[in-house]
Amino acid sequence: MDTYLDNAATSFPKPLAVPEVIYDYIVNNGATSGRGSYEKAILADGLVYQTRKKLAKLFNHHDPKTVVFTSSVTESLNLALQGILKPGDHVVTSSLEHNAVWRCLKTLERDRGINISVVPATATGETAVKDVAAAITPDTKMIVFTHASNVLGTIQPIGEIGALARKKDILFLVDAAQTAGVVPIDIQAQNIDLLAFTGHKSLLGPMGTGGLIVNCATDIHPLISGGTGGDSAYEYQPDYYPNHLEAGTMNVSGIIGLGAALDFLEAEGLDTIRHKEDNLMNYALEALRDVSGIELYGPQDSSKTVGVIAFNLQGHVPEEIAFYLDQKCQVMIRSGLHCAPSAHRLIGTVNRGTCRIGIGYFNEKTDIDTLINGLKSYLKENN
Amino acid sequence: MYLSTISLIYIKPCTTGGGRIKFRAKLSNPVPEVMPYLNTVIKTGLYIPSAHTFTYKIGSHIINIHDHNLTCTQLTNEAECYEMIDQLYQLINETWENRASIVPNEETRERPSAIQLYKLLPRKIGCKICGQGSCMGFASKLILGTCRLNQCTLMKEAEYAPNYLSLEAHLQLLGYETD
Repeated sequence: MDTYLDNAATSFPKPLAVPEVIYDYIVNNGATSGRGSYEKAILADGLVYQTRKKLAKLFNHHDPKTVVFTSSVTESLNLALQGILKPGDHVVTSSLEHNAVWRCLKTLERDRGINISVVPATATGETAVKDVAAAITPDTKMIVFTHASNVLGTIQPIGEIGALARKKDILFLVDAAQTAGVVPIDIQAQNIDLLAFTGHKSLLGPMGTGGLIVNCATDIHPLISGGTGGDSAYEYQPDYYPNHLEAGTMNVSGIIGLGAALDFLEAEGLDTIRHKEDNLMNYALEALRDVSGIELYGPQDSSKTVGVIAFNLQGHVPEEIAFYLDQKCQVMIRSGLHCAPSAHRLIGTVNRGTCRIGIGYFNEKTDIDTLINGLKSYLKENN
Repeated sequence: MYLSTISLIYIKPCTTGGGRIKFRAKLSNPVPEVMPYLNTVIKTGLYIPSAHTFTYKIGSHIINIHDHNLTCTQLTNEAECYEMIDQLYQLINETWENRASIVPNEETRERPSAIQLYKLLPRKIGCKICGQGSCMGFASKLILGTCRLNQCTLMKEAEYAPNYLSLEAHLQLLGYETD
């Protein structure tokens, strides 16, 4: 039997309702969202709106109209960064960013002349808010922070950074790729101006879904222009939401699937999900510590992390370990840099990479046992 | 819960500019029993008991409820239509749930008069293109719902746009279609 431990890349499996509603929509409706002149199209549109509403509720956002759908959190981050930053703007960011933020910032630095300051972090990925404050300059336009590292799992002090940003009147963009659906996010209480999320990780929806929640009046220049289904004689992208930042045929099937996943999350409760993942994390950490030659990274404390554990085995190449686990034990984990070289620089693994397990809500302790047995077999065969 | 659903059934097509969208929705059941209570809650509403019609304004939006049908005007986009439906759904159900503490009101508040409409008509030259003998006659027919605003061709001229919007709002408040 397969053991899936790559939930930090994408969650698997999905709640059964997700493929069921997608199937039902494709087979029995199939109409595009946007201004429909027939009932099925209006129904599809209504389902898209319901998903906006559910997301607004989940993140305590007041206005579903400013929940903008994108194809991924990467697109959402690009939309916010490229759409807002201008030449000379200064941006403060973490030492743990995924390339979805980092490459976008570096490209804007090269092509648009923005300036970047990176806030230092400890080797376990913890950031001190005083260091964020120290990085702010009079030109700081935005603070962009990951909510939790996809390599170390370390949760960042988003609430405190949000309060700082609000006090200094600086925009605060949060990358919630690893946290949405498992760590509570409160846009109002945490003073988040822009929340970028993906639908296919802990929100348990399908790939191809993501979004940006806009909780500020700042003008965001659209990444793309095109049909919105309304106001068609007007020659530019409308300035009202969500159409301002959405163009082209929407991923209705994916968005409806995400809606079903959000219903599942609400029924299960974020506390229940977090509690189960914490227990699995503690169980996994304890078991991994017993593996000979293990090098564990990150805080190794489930209360400080999401369900991500990066590790190496002394004297072994991460890719070889992952390959062995896959081929011999049917255990799926990730190896390499996980698209986040900055975090690997912190822990000194930028040249080597690490193995990474990503624990999800549908994992059980037996999955961890299978992993540990696999690692022990690998060591037996390769030492 | 009095209403189980309000289903959107029509949105004006993409030829309509943002801010001019209108939708029609179907109520899961008619709400005549709720209307006297709505008439108390919404102090600026126009309730016509004999016609089972309740009309009122939220900002620039005119909402008309009649039998199974609901219309709403002056919306920006689809998302705003759904938002409005949620608001109306909540209003109707909450009003019904709280009816024990609301004194129902069967009164019909004052309706716009023909004179009010006449004052908003353009030029008033008595061109008769609308088919009526005079502009005052046209205004009277507008009140009765037997003439449509677009029968006055001068109304469409740009300089009368503000008057058109005012007239349209008055007529929509009476529950009439305006285009």
